Amino acid sequence: MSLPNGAYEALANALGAENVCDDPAVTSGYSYMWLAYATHAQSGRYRPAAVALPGSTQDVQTIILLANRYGFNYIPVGTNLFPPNMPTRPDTIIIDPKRMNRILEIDTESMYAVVEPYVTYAQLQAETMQKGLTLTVCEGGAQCSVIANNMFQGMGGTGHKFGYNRGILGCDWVLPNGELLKIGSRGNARGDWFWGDCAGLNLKGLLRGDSGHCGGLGMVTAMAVKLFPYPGPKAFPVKGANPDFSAEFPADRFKVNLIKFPNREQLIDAMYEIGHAEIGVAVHEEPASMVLAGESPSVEHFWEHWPEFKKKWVNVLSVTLLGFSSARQVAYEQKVLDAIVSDTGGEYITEDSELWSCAACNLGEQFRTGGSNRLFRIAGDFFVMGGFGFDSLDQSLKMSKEYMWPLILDGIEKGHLAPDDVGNDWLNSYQLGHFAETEPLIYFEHDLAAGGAFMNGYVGTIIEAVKRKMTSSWPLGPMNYITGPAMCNYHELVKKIKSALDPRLTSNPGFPVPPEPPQA
Amino acid sequence: MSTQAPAMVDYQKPLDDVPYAEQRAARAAHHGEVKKRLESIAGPDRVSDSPDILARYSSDLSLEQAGRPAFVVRPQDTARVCELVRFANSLKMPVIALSSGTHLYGAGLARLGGMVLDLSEWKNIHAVSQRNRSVRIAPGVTYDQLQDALEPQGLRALIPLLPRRDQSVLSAHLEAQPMLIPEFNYSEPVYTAEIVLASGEIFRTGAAAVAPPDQTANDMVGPWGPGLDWNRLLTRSQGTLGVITWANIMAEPLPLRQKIYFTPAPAIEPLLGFTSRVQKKWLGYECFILNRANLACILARSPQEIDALQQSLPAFVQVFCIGGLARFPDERIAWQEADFLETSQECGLTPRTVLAEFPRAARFFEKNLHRCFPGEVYWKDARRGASADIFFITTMNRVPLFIEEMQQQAALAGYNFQDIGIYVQPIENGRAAHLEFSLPYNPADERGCTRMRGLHEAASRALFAQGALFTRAYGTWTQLAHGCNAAQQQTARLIKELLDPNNIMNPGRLGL
Amino acid sequence: MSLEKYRWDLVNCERCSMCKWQHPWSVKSRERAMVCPSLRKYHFDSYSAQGRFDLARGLLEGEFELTDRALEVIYACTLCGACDVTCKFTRDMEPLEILHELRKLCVEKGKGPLPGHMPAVDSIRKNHNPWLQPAARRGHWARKMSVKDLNKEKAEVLYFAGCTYSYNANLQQVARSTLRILQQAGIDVGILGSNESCCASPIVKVGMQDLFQEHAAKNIEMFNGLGIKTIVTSCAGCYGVLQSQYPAVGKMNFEIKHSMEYFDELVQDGRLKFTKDVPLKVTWHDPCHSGRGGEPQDLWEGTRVRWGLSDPPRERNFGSKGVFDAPRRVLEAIPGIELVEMERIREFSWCCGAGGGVKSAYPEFAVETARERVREACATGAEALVTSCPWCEANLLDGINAEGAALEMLSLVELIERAAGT
Repeated sequence: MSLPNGAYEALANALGAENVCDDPAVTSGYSYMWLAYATHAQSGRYRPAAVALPGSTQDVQTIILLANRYGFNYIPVGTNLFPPNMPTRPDTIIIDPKRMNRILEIDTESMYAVVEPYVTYAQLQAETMQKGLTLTVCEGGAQCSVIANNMFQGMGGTGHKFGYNRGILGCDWVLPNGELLKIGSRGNARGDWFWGDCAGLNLKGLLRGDSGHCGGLGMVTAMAVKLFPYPGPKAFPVKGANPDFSAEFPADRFKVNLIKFPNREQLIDAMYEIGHAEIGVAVHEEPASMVLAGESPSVEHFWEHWPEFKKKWVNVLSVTLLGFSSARQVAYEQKVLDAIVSDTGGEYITEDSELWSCAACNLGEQFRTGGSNRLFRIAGDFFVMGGFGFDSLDQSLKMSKEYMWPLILDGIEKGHLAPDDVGNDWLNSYQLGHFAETEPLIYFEHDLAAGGAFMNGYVGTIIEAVKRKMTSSWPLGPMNYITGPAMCNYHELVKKIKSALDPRLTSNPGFPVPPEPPQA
Repeated sequence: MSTQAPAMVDYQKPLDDVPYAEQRAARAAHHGEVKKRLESIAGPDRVSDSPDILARYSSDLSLEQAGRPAFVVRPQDTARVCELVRFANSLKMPVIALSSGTHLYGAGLARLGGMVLDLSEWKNIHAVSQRNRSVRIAPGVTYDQLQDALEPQGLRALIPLLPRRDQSVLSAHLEAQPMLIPEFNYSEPVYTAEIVLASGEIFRTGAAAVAPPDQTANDMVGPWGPGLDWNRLLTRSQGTLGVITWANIMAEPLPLRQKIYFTPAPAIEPLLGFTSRVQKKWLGYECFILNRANLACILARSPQEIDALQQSLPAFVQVFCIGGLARFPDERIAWQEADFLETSQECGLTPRTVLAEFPRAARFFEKNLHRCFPGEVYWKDARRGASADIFFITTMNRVPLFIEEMQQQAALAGYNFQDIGIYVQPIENGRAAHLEFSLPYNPADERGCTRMRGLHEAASRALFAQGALFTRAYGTWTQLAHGCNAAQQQTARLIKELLDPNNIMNPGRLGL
Repeated sequence: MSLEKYRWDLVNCERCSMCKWQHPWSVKSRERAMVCPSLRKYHFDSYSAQGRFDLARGLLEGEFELTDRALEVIYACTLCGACDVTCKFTRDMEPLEILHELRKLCVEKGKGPLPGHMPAVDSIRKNHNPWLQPAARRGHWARKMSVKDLNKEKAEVLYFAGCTYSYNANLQQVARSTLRILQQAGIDVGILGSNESCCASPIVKVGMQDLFQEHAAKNIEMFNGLGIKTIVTSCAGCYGVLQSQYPAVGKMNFEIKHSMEYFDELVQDGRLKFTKDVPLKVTWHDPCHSGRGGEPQDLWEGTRVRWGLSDPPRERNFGSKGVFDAPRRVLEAIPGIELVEMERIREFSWCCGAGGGVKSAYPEFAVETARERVREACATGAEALVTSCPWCEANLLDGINAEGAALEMLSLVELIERAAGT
C-alpha cells in the first residue's frame, strides 16, 4: 500500500494536498467492494495506496501521466459499486471523481446530456424530466454514476424501448498514455457531443462491450448520453415517506400491467408477441423474491411473508405502457396487450388484489430505480447465478432452466443460498424484444463459504454455457480465460489491445483481461 | 577497434543488380506462382488477372483515384477466404473484399494493388427467424432478393432510400447507411457477424462467438462482445479489419397496411421542426425529407422529364409512412394518424395522402418504399449520368445552415444549386440527421469531372468547418476528420497494427 | 469494543451508496441530490456512512490505528442522521448508532473528544451548560416573567428551555415567547430556572457516554420527581436526545413534546388563535433532531442471525415519523403566510451544519453547510427561513450572513406571536 518515492508528493503538488490522501482512515473507504469478499477474506490489505480527487480532465491526464512516470497503478471509478474497482495490487491509487460532478449540457433538440463521472442517474434524470426527457436508469440504482454504468453495460428498466448498451454519444476519454481521445462528434471541427460515431475506426467499440473495459483502458472524463422523450410530470411524482414510497404518474400516459402465466414458456411467448407488436416501454419477468424485497421495509418482513408470497407470485410478467404521443397510444397498446394476454394464456393481476399492492412501486421503478438495493436485504448479499448472456428471449429461458437453476438449487440444498426455489428470473426484453437477458437472482450471506459457493456457481454457469455452445454469463477479468478459448480467442485480442494502449499495465491492471491466466 | 582511417569509399559504385530481362522473368514467374496458388485455393475459373476484368475493378462511380488490383478472386466459401487471406498475409499482399455490384465511394478500389475478393455472388440467405426477427445473410445478398425472402414470413428488411438493385444489404449496414425508418430500436441492425481476420482466422461477434452457425445452440442475436464491442469497431471499417462473410441482421415486422403522407413546404425549416416533433412522439415508420430536385429524379419516368417535373414540385416534401402491424392494424394507423395530423396542425402544415403537384407519387412510394429503385437508370444518375454525393451527420436544427453553406459553395463554383438534390434522413427518432447533397455531373465530361472534384472538395471542407460530421471516411473526408483528431488516428493505427500487422486488409483506407 | 455489536452491519455494507443521497425518487435536481454534508465538503468516500463503516470495520479488525485523519473522518460529521434514513430504506443497518459508537471508541482510546469540544464539555461538567455561563444565571431569561417555579410548585408541564435559549441573548426571546404563548393558552406550565441542567446532548454527541449517562440519569431522576405529565422544549437538540437517548438511561414517567407539536395541538383545538395577518413567504427548515431524529428509537439488544434477521426482531427507525407536519400545519394556519418548500425536506432535510460538535470543532464546515441550506432556501423565493432549533437558527444565521443573502432568519414562535398579536 505504498507509492513509489516521489509519487505522492507529485500528486499532491499537481492536485493540491487536500485532494490526495493516503491515510488509512481515508483509503479504507475504498477497500471493500460488493462481492469482492467472495475471493478473499474481509481484509484491509486491499486498501488503495492513495485516493486522488481530480477536478478536471486535465487533472486526470496529470494523474495518468504521473502513474506512467512513477510507475504506479490507478483505478478510475464512478460511484464505485462494482468489484472491478477493488485494488488488488499494493501500489494502486483510486481516481475518485467526486469533484467532477457537473452536468455540462442538456440538449433538448438533439436529446442528449453531457455529464462528468460523478453525476448519478437520479441527478441527471431529475434535470432532464424538467425538460421533457428521460433515460434508462440502471438496475444498480439511480444513485449510480451515469458514465460508469454506460461503460459497463447501460442496462435499465426501460431497455425494451430505450435500448441496452447504446447510450453513449460523444466522449472525452483519457487514454492510458495520458492522451485525450475524443470519441464520435467530439472529434469534429466544432467538438460537438451529439453523436457517438466518427470517421475512421470506431473506437467507441473499445469503450463498451458485454461489460466494458472496467477502467482498464484509462478514464472517460465526460460523456454525452442519449435521452428519450418523456411525457410525464417535471418532478418525479413521489408520494409517501421512508420506507414506503409510491409514484403516481398520470394514468392516461403511464400504465403498468402485471400478468400471470401458467408457465414460463407461455410468458416468453407473450414477450415475443409484445415485441412483434412493438408495444410497451418496459417488459420483464419479475421474480417473487425481487418483488417482495421491493416492498419489504425489513429483512424480518421479507422472511415473514416469503413462504406464502412465493406460492402466489409465480411466472409474472410486468409490462409498462407509455403514451409518448398521446393517451391514444396507451389505449391502443392496452388493447393489443389484452389480445396477446388472451392468446398466450395469461391472466392479469387485478388492481384490487393483494398481489397488485405488493408491486405498487413497479411503475416508478421502471423509470427511476430506487429500490433495487433492497435485494441486499434478503440475506445480506445478492447477485445473479450467471445471467446477462445476451441472446434471444428463448435462449434466456433455456439458459436459465438448463443449467442456471440446477446450480442454484444445488446451492440452496447445500445451505449456501437463501431458499428461493421459485425458478423465476429477472428476465428482460431489450429493444422491442430483439434480444434479451436473464438474471436468476440469488441471495446469500456475507461469508467466505457462501461467497465461494456463489463464485463457483457463477463460473459454473460460464463453463456450462461454453460446453453447450450457448452464450455465457459475463466473464469478468480472469474469467475471460475460460470463455476466450471457446469464443474465437477474443481474450487474446483484448489482451493485445490492452497492452497496445496500456503497455505498462497501469490502468486497473487486471482488466479488461489480466495479462496471465489466474493461478490455480 | 582499428585506429586506421578507412580506405577511400567509392560512394558512386553502382550496386550489383539482376539484369532487366531476368527481373521481368522473375516478376512474371512470381505473378504466375501467386496466380497458381490462388487458383489452387479458389479454383482456376475463380481467379482472374485479365486486363479487361481488372479494369472493371479499377474504378467506380466515385471521383476517387483509380486503383488496379493484380487479381480478382471469386472464392466459393469461407474456408477458401481464410486460406486466401492467409496466403495474402504471407506475401503482404493487399486484400480488398467487395460485395456490392456497383461501388460508389472509392472504398473498394485497390489503391495499393493486391487481390480483390469479390463476394457479390454470395447470395445465400442462410436463415430467417420470424420469431427472433433476424435474417442471416451472405455479403452479396441484395435488397429485392432479401425482401422477397422476408415478406412471406411477415418481415421486411431495413432499407435505405431507393437503393441500387445490386446494392449489398450487408455492406449497407456495415457502412451504416441511414435507413428510411428512424426508429431508435432499428438503428444498430447488425446482431452478429463472422469476419475473417488478416491472420486468416475466423472471428465471430456477439452471441455467435461461441460456435459456428451449424454448431451453435444460440439464436445469434445478442450483439455484445465478446469482451469489447466488435460490431461497433467493424462498422464503417471498410474492410480494413477483415473480410465479413456473413451477418445476422434485424428483420422487422412487415406492416399489413400502410398509409403514406406527403407534407409539402416552400422551405425546409418548418418541415424540420415538424419532423422533429413527430419523431419525438415516436410516430410512424419511414420518415424523410426530399427537395424537389431529388423528388423529380425519383419520380420522373425519363431523364427528359426531370426539369419540367422539378418546376412543378414543392420545394421540400416530407414523406411519412404509418404502418399497421398484425394486431389491429387499422387502429394502429388510426391513432398514429390522428396524432400526426394534430402535430401538423400545431406546426401549420398540411400533410396529404396525395401529392397534389404529382399524384402518381403516392403510388410510386406505396410500391417502392421497401424496394430498390425500379427504373433502368438509377435516380441519382438520371439527370447527368452520375452524382457526386456529400453526406454527413448533423443535428436536425443545423440542417438549414449546411444547406446555406452548400448554396454558397455551389455559387462560388458556378454550379446550379437548383440541380442539387437534398435528402434529410432523421436518425434515431430525430436525435441526429443524415444530410445528403447529390450533385449531378456528366462522368463523360472530363473538364466537368475536374470542376466537380473541385466543388466536392471545397464544399466538403466548408461543411466540415461548420461542424459536418463525416462518419464514413471516404476520400477527402478521411483527411479532414483525422486532421482535428490526432489521438483518434494514432489509436486507430495501434488497433489496426495489432489486428493486421502487415496491413493487408484494404490498406490505405481510413487513413490506415 | 461496542462496535462489535454492529459487526453484521459493517461487513454487510456493500457500498451501494444510498447513504450519500436522498432516496432517488425524491431527487429533484442535480444540485441538491446529496444528503450528506460531510461528503459534500470533504469528497472522499470516507466522509460518508459507507466510508465510516469501512473505517469502523478496519478499526474493529485492528487493520490500522486511530490517526489524526481518522479523528477528522469521525468528528467532521454533524450526526444529522440523513444517512441513517437513506440507508435504512434498503438495508437493515444502523449508521447513526455506528457513528456514535465510533466517537465512543475515540473517547475510550483517549483520542476524543477533540480540543475544540473541550470548552463546552468542561463547561457542562462545571456549569451544566456548554456556553461557559454560570449555572446560577440560567433562569434569568424568565426573570421578568411570572411563571411557576417547579422547584417549589407543581405543574402539568415543564417548559425545558435548554442551554442555548437560556443563555444566548439573541435567542432568549424564543423561550420567553414560547412560555408566554403556553401561559396564554391556559397551560399549567412551569420552569426549573437555575436548576435546569443541560440535556447533555453535546456530551453524547462527542462520544462521552459515561458522562452522558451520569448527567442524563440525574436529569431523569429530577424530572420524574416533578410530577409533571409533559416536558415541552423548543430546542430540537434537547428534544432529540430526550426522545432517543434518555430512554436507554432510565424510565421516564412523562412524555416529551417539542413546542412545535404543542403549538400545533393548541391551534387544532382552538386554544391558540391567529388574529393578525403576517404577509410573508417563508420556507421551513426541519431540524435534524426533531425531524428524522425525533422518531423514538427501539432500544434493541440482540444479535443478527441467519440471513441477517435480528433476534429478537428489531423495530427500525426510518426517520419519517419525527416532527414534520406540526410546524407546517401551524405555518399554514397563520393568515398571510405562504409556505414554500425547499428540495430537501422532512426526513431528507439538509442539515444546518451545527450538530455533532461540528460548530465547535469545524466551524468553517458548519458555515459552509449552512450556506448550502441558505442557497436552497433562497431558491424557493422565500423571504424568511423559519425553524425551531437554536443551533439551526444560530448557524443558519451565520450562513445567511456569509452568503449575504436577503433572507430573514426566524423562529416559528416569532411568527406565532406576530399572528397571535401577543
